[in-house]
Parts: sequence; C-alpha cells; structure tokens
Amino acid sequence: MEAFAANSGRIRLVRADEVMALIREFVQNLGLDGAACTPESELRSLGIDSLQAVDLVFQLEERFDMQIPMEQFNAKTIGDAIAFVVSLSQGE
Amino acid sequence: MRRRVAVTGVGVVSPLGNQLDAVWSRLMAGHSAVDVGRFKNAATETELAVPVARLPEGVLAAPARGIAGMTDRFTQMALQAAASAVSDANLDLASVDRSRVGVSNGTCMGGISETEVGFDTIYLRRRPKVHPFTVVRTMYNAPSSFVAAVFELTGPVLAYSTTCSSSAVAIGEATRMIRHGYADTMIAGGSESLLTYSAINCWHSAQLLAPIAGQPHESCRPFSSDRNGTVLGEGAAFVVLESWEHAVARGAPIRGEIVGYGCTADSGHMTQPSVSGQARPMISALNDGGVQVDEIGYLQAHGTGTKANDSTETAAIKLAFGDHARALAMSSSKAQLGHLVGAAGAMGFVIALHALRTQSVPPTANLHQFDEACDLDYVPLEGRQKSGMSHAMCNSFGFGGTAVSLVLCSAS
Repeated sequence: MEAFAANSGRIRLVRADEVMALIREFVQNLGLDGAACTPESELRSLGIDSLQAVDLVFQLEERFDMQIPMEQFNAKTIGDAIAFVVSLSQGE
Repeated sequence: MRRRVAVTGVGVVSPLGNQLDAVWSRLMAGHSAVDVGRFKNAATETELAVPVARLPEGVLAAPARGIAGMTDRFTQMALQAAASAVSDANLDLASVDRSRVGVSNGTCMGGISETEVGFDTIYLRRRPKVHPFTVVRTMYNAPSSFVAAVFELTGPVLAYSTTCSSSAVAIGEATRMIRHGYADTMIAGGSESLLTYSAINCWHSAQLLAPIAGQPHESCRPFSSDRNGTVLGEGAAFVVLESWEHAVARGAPIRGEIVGYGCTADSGHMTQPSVSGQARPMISALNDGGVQVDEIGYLQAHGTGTKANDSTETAAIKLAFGDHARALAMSSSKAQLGHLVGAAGAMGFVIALHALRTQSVPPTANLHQFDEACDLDYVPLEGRQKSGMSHAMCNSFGFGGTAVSLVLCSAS
C-alpha cells in the first residue's frame, strides 16, 4: 500500500459538507435514495455493498486529490466516512 | 442428439438506428452512416481524423443507474440489443427454466474505451490507481455476464474473441449449445465500441483504414476497384436462439432457422487472407446443414473494402459455390454501417436473416467501379426484391485466421 500512503504535503483541507455532497451524489448515481442520506445513515442500509464502497473511496480520492488506505476505511455510517476523510486531509 | 435451432428474436444498436425495420429501409435505400470522426490525443493534443460510423444521438439509451458505473459502452450496447432481442422474441424469462438459458457474446477489443481511461489516469494524470471497476468494465465477457445478471440466467455464459469473426463464433457456438442439449435458449451476439483515440490509432497504424473521401459517406467501397480500406463503426447485434421444440411449445415467433455453422482456421498469415482459408468455412457450413450450393439465394459477404479481402473473398466464393457463384446475390453492408468488428458477424447474420424474411437483398453501397477480381453480383448501390429465397449465408473472417460462415433457412 505504499502508493496510497503518500498524502503528506499536497492535499488540501476537506470540509465535511463537501464530503456529504459527494456521498449524496454517489448514492443517487447508484439509483438509491440520496435524500435519505444523513450523517447517521449506515452505508450498508443505504444499499452500498463492499464493492460499491471501493468505488466510493476511489471517488473520494479523485475528488479531493488524496489517497485513502482502504484497509483503514472502516466507516459504518456516513458520519464515520466524513470524519475519516476530513481527518485524513488534516494529516491526522 | 442434434436439435434444430430457431431464431426467435433480433435486437440491434447500430449506426443506422435501433429499430430493425427502419435500419432495413435505410440499408435498402443505400444510406450510409459514415462520417468524419476526429480523435484527440490528450497527451500531445494532436488529432487523428478518419471516416467512422457512430451511433446517432439517442440510439443508445442511458443505462440503469446501478449498471452505468460498472460498464463500458460496449456492454451497455450489448445490454440494449439483447433486451431488444428478448422483447422481439416475446420471451418472458420469468416463465422458463433459467438454468437452461445462456448467453454468448463476441467482441474484438472489449472495453477499450475504459482501458484508455485507465491509462490516462495512471500515465497522463499520474494518479496512483485506476478506477476499481476497470477489470469489470473492460473484461471481454462483461456483455454476457451483465445480460445474465440482469435476466438472472444461469446457463452457459460465454465470450469469444476472434477479432472480426467474434460474434459469428458466438452465434455458432450458441447454436451448438442448443443442438447438443446444453441449453434450450441462448441469447447470442456481439458488441464493439472502439471509436476512441488509441483504438483508432491501432487500426490506422496498420494501414487498414480508408482515408476520408470527398464525400465522407463514400469512404468505404467494398468490391469496387477504387476501394482502399475499411471504415470502423460501433454497435451491437443480438439474437435469441431456441431449440425448435422449445420455440414451438411456447408459441414463439420463429424468424428463421440456423442450419449450418462452419468455423475453420486460415492457419497462415495473421492478416493476409487466403482463398482456401475463406472457402473452407463456407463449404463446412453447407455440409453441416446438408444444404446444396444452389439453395443459397443471398450471401452477406464479409466485404470489408480492403484490397486484400474483397478479391480473396470473391475467389473463395467461386471456389465454394462453383457455377452457382454467378447466380448468387451478395452484398456487404460495411459501406453503410461501418465495420463493426466484434459485432460485425452478428450484424451480418441479422441482415441475412432479414433478407430471407423480406425476400429482398440489401445493396453494396459505393460500388461504382468494376474490378476484374470482383466480378460477381454484389447488388450495387440499391437493394432489390428477390423472391423464392429459402436459404442465406453470412461470412465473417477475422485476423488471426478464424473464418466463419453461418447458413440460415427461412422459417416458412
């Protein structure tokens, strides 16, 4: 995973609302209910399976120009995902 | 055991439309979808302009949202054509044993559009990884697999890649599946979506593509002495095949019967065709069907518009058909639809089938100049009625030497 561990120095700070907007758009593109997305929503109950979660992580990486170690992405809820991405952008 | 195989449904997504009757009218009138295609190299910002046959706006419907993100265009075209074929067959898949239904697709370059996106991502944009669905989007069996997934089919689900004969192989092998009892129904065909810079560059570099003619739609000229290359197109064609008993039992609309399949190898040069190599599948298909040469009323030729193919195919037809070669009506639709490569065999098959159904033969467009090496009846410029046709043949030859002929019989 060396290629995915190189976030230092070049990523920008990501806001929670930007991540929320991307996740809502992602859910809608899957034909699922984007309006049902809240920070408390569980990804699995929204209909996002493990394969789609890999796609979501890729889209987060692309949009925010960051690299997310998949093995550390253990988000159960949208709120978990937002917190993880925001903290990663802060270099935490 | 050898069971009869009926064709009960047809679906197309083509540069001349997605409704077969309308496509047929345009073919018969000699219309061509070929126009100038401009392909940009994102790295060098240079452009490659060649004649191509694209799908017009609206011919390919937007895929379902859950499917769109997982599929390349070649799979999306296949899904639409296969669904059209199932609908045309009046086939309610929920009412049949879906473990006895399979899918068979052919393609030459698979998900090349998405492969190109992947290369752009890692080499041009210097991102660390390609999209995680790149394998699923580009795999050559994606069309069959997605059709099977959408319709919940659990019979044999297969893919074939023999360049330009891929989808003829897919139909032929599906025929064998039914003949020999491995399936009762097969959804078979092919799709190709290669109108992208890297793919066009491959074909252009090999000196296979015609330059843009003064009138772009006249760029591909099969069997004409001034022919100078083929024109690539995009599209998909699928058919529903059923055992005769299965089709009759459910009251299916039987459109025709596949009686002969010949699949042989040229076994020589990778790109240069040989007369014996192209005659072999025709003879094999006739023998397979127990069909005499003089029973064939129409032949949909491979007819690419290259110097090498068209004269070789003409000589091969003479070798296979003897004196009857001069009584045959034959044509190539590639001047109008473009060369659909992995989908070309299936599209040619559909055209041969429709010729039998309508007792009419489509033309070879842009055939203005006689060539001594191409001296048969290619139905130049305009289609015509031809009554009394009971059988038709479709030829499909690929680089690498896999040569296929399919023989069809009218349903009536």
